[in-house]
Amino acid sequence: MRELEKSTIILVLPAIVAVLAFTSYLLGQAFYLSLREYSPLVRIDEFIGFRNYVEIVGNEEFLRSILRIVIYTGIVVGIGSLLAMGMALLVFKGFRGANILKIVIISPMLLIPAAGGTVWTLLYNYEFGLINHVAKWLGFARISYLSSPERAFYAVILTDIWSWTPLLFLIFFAGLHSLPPDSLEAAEIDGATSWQKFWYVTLPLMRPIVVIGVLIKSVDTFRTFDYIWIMTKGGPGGNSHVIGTITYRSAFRFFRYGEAASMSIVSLMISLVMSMIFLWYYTRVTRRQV
Amino acid sequence: MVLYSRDAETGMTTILALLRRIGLVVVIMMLIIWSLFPFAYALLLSFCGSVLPTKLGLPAAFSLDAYKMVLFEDPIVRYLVNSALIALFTCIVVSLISIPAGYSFSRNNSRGFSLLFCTFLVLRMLPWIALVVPLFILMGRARLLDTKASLVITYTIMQAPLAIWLMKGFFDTIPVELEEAALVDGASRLTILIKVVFPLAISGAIVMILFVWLFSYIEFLFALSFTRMKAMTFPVKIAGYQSKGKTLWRAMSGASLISMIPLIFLFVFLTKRIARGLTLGAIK
Amino acid sequence: MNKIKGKKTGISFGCMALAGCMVFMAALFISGARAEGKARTKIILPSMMGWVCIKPAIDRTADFEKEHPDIKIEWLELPYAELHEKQFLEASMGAGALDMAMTDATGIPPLKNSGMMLPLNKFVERDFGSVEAWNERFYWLNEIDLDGEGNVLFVPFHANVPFGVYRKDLFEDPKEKANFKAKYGYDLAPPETWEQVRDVARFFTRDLDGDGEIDQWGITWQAASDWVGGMWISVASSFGMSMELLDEQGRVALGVEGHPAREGALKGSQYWYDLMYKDKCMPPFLITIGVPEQWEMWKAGKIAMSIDFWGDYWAHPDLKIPGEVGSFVAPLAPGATAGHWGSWWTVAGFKEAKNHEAIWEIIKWLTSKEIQAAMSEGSGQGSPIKAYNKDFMEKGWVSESLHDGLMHAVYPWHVTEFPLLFEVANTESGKMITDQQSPTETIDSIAKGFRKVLKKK
Repeated sequence: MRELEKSTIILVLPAIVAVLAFTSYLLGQAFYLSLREYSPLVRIDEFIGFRNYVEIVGNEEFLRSILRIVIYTGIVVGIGSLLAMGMALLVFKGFRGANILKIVIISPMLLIPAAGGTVWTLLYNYEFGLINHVAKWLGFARISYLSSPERAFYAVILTDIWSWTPLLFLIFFAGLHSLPPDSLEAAEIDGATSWQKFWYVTLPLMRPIVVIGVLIKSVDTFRTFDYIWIMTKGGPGGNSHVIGTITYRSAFRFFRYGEAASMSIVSLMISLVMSMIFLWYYTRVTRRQV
Repeated sequence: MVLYSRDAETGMTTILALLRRIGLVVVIMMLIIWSLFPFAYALLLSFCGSVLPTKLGLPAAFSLDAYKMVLFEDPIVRYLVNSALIALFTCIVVSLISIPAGYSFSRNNSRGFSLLFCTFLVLRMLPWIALVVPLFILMGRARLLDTKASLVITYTIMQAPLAIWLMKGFFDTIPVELEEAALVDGASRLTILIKVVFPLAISGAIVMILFVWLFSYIEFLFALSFTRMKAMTFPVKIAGYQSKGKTLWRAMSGASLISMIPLIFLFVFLTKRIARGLTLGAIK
Repeated sequence: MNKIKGKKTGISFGCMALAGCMVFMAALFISGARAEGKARTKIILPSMMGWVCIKPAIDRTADFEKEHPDIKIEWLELPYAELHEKQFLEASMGAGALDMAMTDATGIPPLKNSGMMLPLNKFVERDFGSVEAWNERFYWLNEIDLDGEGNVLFVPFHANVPFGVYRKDLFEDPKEKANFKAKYGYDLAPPETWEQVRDVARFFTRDLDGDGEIDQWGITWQAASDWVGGMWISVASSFGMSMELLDEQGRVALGVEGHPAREGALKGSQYWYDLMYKDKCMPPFLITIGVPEQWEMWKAGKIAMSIDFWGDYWAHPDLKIPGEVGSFVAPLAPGATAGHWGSWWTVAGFKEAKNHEAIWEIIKWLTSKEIQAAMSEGSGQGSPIKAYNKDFMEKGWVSESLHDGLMHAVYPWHVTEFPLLFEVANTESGKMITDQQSPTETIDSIAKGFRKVLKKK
């Protein structure tokens, strides 16, 4: 066994050096930067302690972007998982053409996020977008989406739901497949309605998969950047900035690397909390399975 | 489409069954429309002539200019190549790192290793924006901006934790008994690894590689920050179509549709495995 | 048994998918490698993506390369905001990814102050006699010492002022003319004051199909979120917002009560705000109107008039000037001391580039009469070289009024932080045109943002 231990340590070394050590070094750098005011464009580079943190905590725009990413994650994951569960149950039910429907459902994933964002920008356009064409055809008034300070953010959320719900669908669908069929059959023999079957048999059995799927999706959604940056650039008037875009803007539009680093340390803290929750649940579930 | 449900077979009242069937058809239709209408509109716009439609209906004229532009005038192929190559190199580096690591984590269950493994899980959850600024400065100092290497390095540290996790899962399904039997036969540790374990893990490794390839292919944030020209990837290119500049709506739609082609092949293979991969093996 | 079989099909399927991907990539790689060509000095020259004014030059790259077989120009087309961002980063990090820079007025100060730009004096003196003679050829170069030390760093190849553009078919329709006269008491013509702009815009804002929604907007600018700050600065400057950034005591002029800069900015912002939300003759979705959207709207007949920068945008093949579209100099508010924001686009070289001679050849080529003529003819752009511009006016490629506009134009804030101020103006004026804050609040918050950027009281 000693030999096994030795060889496994050697085998895991590259990963430790190339990934763990390097990432830790980078995060250390980020923390070090966050204590400085560093802006090569205007040639400032000085140590200022925690002033960057004091400033971003007093920055209403930044606080709002945190609130917004929480809302964003909540809506995308919440609606997404309901929708995905519905679709998974529907396809799992099995009818002729269910396989084709499955392909149709996952097709949004074929559009890479950058392309998805641009296509939806066209859909939302006031004059030429399909959504307003349909609204007009149905007799409703046209609405501006990406140019409206209230709606732009939610319009982006809808796009995210469109393109990444298929992922949750696949996770839930695989989860349904992995259920033991005899428990469902037993419920059927007992004369349970399909709703009861879902609520009392399927859902409890699927709970670990649903929770893990949702947690992972939350973490992934939390670091969203591309849809917002492509569709609104955080606009109109900074009304759809989330933590990712506002950090990016601070670094690459205002060239305030120190401030951007302190923002990213804050988002790191938040996602650490999220991953701790995940880790706790994951180890509990996997241990029980073993 | 002819539909039937098991409920209808069990003999419920016909009207109720009919209503259910209609409801099912409506729901399915809505799902199809919901999933496909952006594609349909992008397709329509990419063939659109001079004036875009201002109300529901077909455009007044059609043209192939958009495709002429994205294929010949300003070929997006170059950017697709960049994306594909960067993703490919990432796959190679990630496999070299993650396959041995995955094996170690699978075979060594000591406390220290479990802890280390959890650390890698935390890395999987890292907000990438936290790495952008320090990496950017590092790449700038190393004169690596706008090189494929900068993105390969970045994507490696982004994707390796997920890959290690996947590989651990695959190695877990290979029984230790095989190795022990080989050990008894007098084979060395390394021989066992190369001759016994790795061949069995190939199918898992392929899934892992395709995942890493996919996520590197679609990455936007780092590609946007690190590339200028030589290494510009497709997502950055297509996002740039939306700019103070020229009428690129049609080209944008055309390019979006073209970019799907490589992914179609990928998804044929990945669909069944994606769920398992993304939930870190929680689904067996 | 079944499991093993499944695994085997899995392996073979996976191998096939991988092989397929490899073949796909190999094919792409070969086609890409072939395009690389032979070893020459490659000069990477960034430019604004899809910009019509630069297109005639790009189209003639092959001619240049035939003349200079040892130089290859690699055009790098980037969206406006990214173009600036990447050049600044290049200058501040010295990453060596770009050989040349192309920038408008916002980018000149920071690039200059980075100390990374290549002084062109020895080339200018060699080929044009003296720096003074060189500067004299251009519209403002002799007035502004860009470097503080008399160095030539940036060479303009494109000159710009805000202009009005209108649809000739509407303005020349006799019925419209009669109606307009009856309503406003004077003849319908390209407006000369901002009051007339408002009248015309109100007059042409219409609901054509009677469904209660406006389908023809009186006036627009392109205010997409990356660029709205630039439009705001330029329209505010036409209302007399002088280009003074700081007052005598070193305070941010926009925040000082009674300062002409603040008064002008307030007047200008209020005017546009009223056009949008009181008169409702500008689309409320202005913030999503970039050049592409504006073009599409012109072609679909949704806009009667626009205020925009000259030459950048109106040279779409479908909107040839002069043709269906007429142009006029953007008015100045009465009493406005300063002119419009005059903007250049300039090219420059990075010190770190390997071949300085090649950079100079490219600059000379871009400002040569042949290329300037091609750019003016192809896009209606103004040439920054006075003598050329006069020739082009005679040929009818650029309008007479462009020359007047250029002569009166002022050069905006010449500070390193200009791009950062620009970003502040983008966000805050974006809030104004989406009706989140009043013009006064907007000016106050812009001043506040400026103070933060400039670290001033």
